[in-house]
Amino acid sequence: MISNILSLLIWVPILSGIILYFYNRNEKILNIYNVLINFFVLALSIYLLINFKQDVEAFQFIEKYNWINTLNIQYFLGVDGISTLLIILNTIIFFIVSIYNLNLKIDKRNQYYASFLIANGLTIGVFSSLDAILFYIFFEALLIPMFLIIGIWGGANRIYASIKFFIYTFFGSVLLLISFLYINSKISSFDINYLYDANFTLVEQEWLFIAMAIAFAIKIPMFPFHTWLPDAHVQAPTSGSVVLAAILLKVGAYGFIRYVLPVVPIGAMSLDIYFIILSLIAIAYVGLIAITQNDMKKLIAYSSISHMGFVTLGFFIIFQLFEKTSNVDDLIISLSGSLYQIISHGFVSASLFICVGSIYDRYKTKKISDLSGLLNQMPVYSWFFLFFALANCGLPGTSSFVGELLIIISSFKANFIYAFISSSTLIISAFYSLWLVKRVIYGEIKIDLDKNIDANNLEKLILFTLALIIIILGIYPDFIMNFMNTSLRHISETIIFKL
Amino acid sequence: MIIQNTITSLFHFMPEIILSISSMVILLIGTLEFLKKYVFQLTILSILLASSFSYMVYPETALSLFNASIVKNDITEFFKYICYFIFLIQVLISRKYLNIRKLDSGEFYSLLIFALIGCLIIISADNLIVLFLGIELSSLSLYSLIALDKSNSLSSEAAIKYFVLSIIASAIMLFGFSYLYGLTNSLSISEIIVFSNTNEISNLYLFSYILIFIGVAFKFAVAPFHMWLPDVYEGSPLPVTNFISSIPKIAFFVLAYKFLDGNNIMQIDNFHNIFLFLGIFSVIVGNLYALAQKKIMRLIAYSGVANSGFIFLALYAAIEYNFSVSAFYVASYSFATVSLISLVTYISSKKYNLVYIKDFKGLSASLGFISVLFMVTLLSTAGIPLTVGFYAKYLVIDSLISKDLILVATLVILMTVVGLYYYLRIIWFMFFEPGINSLVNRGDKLSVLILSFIPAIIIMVFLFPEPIFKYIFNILT
Repeated sequence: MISNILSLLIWVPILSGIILYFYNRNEKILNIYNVLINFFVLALSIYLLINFKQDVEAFQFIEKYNWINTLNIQYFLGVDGISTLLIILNTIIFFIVSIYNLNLKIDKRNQYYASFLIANGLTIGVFSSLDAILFYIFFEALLIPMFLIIGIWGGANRIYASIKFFIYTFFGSVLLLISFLYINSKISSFDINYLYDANFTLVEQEWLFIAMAIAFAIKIPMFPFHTWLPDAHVQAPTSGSVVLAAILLKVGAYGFIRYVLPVVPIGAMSLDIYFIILSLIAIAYVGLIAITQNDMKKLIAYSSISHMGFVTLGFFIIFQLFEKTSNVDDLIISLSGSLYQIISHGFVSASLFICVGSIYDRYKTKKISDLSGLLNQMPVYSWFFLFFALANCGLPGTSSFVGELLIIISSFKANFIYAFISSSTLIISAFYSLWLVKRVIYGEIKIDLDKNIDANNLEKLILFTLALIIIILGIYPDFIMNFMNTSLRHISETIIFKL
Repeated sequence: MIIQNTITSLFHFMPEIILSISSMVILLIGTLEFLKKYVFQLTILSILLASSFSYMVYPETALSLFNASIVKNDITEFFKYICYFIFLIQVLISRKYLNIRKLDSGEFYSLLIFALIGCLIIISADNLIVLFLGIELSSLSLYSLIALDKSNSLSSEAAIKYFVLSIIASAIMLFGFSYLYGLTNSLSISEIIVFSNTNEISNLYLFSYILIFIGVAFKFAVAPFHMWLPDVYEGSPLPVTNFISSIPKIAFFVLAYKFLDGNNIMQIDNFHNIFLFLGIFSVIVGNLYALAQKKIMRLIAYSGVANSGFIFLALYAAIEYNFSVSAFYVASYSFATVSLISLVTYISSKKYNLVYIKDFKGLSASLGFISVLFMVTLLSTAGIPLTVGFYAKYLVIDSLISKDLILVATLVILMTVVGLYYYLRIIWFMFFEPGINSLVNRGDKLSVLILSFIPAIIIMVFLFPEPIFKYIFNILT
């Protein structure tokens, strides 16, 4: 068994990214090198997946060194079922992005690749660090490559979007830092296990919860902290949008389940109603906003926010479930619904952004009103687009269905109103997804490109892989459910024990 | 503490003596037509000589020289090394800049070394008279250095402003010294601390301290004593700005440390709250003013005001803990700001004047590596992880929180979010905007190597901070 596999996963892409940043000679070597590194990371993460023991409750692959003794900060890495799955999601998406990037015609190619490689390593760092400050460092450092990706290779209004993105998320993360430092001043540790054991008074928990929840709510993003996301998505280059939607939003969700719910459950419980309301607003109201969008990327961005509303709903109804049924299994179902939604949305939104990116590459427009009749010009491609749009609205048989179903079932147990509002998404998301397809794919040809512009082999491969993953996740969810069951049970028991 | 007689004192005081002699020699050589071109080399040589000698006579235990008017211990030597290192980088980088503007005369280097000696004396003085001597030596040299560029009207304006305000600050400080002497009947700082720990602290005694720390606040440019800073930064030649921004701050930090360490006066609310209020006020004022700046040096100046506010907050937090937090902050900030101004100097020395922030547009296209260095340094000043500035801000916030000042901590850290905007603005101009200048990338390798020292240190210390923390925590407790 490879020791220090997590360190390898983090530092190999980061270091090779730094090397790549200063190498700018041969484009071919650049491409091969980039794909190889990403493949190596993917292979390592699959190795991690295979060697992971599903029935062990504690963290695995632990690496623990004293990093800064004077400040109690450790270099403490380890994974459980949740983080392993998110690491796999991360490496798959980055590998697909690296393949997709081969098609691009951009300048400063080496720096573009380097930013993605560094982002890859830092995200794995976020998902695997078990020391709060180490987590914070990765969490915040992740902003820098994303900032550069949006700012350098983005659209016309990229500067506004990148600055808004950076400052918005930095604002959240300093609140996170304050909370971690406060916790440290009480228990003198940043170690996750001590954080789980710590007990705070109700007032402390409420304040800690508010600070940390704002930090992660901005990242997810929850209504009303979501305004940076549509801007960032519209301006980011396609691969940037893919990473943003598929990975970065998940960092916020991961933060909730790792650092907020088990650490300050009493605070979360006393304020959960506000977050449930905000989640419901995100699901219904932001879904309605998505309908009115004329920019395809913006539409998908708003639909992402709406889908993330499900994730947060799944997180915050657990307290009401606990009050009603006191059954730990109900909590697990709700949480696993959220996590399933996270993973499913990672693939669905990534594929939608890749589709939109390819349209933009050909027609040089993302406006729905400018496009029509794509089916006539690019049939294969349109088929995939239709499939992903259906997956986006939670068609049974696709991965989105599983997560949404679990969360709606759980919210039924908690309160009928929640279930009622959240099921409205089945109509709303169908509305915006299918109407998008109707306007873009069907109809008369508006812009006639006189060439064969259907998906090339590389794109076909990427889209097919993504579609396959979405279908497999849709018809055989048990693998992922079993995989994270033990970890979720552990987290739920921690929460219940503290309540 | 081992007391040395005059002869051995001279031996231990050798680094400063070497510097004094060499600065006079440089002044002399500068007037001779055929030796004029060697002043730069001589300056470098004297710094290297002084610092290596300083290493040779490194005190095993604390030393007291010249009838207890000079002390040497781990702390003074640590900060002196930082001064030597920073000074060396500043001088190495500024040669071309001075050359183009015809400022590289003997008197420039000589005055700069005198200013350095002044700061070194402030660091090691234990006697109020010697301390004041050091303050005046460095200030007087700086007045003339600021005004040295006679072709620049801003330069003279800056010199006059600095002269008048600095004289007032020195006078207030001296006033405080005289009260202190009258009350304690002693000129030695260590005896004064013993006095304040054994006697009841009277209001007049407190008042003298407040006067002294108004002087310190002026030198740190803590709001509301910051008015001189933007004009001086903008007006003076960049190498001089580079000096003013770092070495005097280190020196005055050591002065503050000497006055406050183990001093009961820190326990008095009316006194230590001054640091808290000035610190908060300064962080707010510095960050908000910096947002509105159009010129790069004024921006660095206001960011300096904000950072000085953090230093004062760290001094406030030192009431119960020790000064290691503030010492680390001072060191980290000086390194970052020296790197920033050195980079500006380097770019400006290519006959391309970097005055406005918009001049940064498209810099990464022509000076790619330099832009990366700039970005690292800016992120360090802003306190983003992957740079050592993160630990500096972290420690200050941490100490505020452990004193239960959570609201203050939240306020100042939110102000750094505001401050982030102007740092990001420079980064976006460099990387995101198309270039408007036709700067040819013909950077000389040596300067780039020197410039990359500090950013490399910034990242290395971030990754492996433990030895530095241990060292600083060790010498300051």
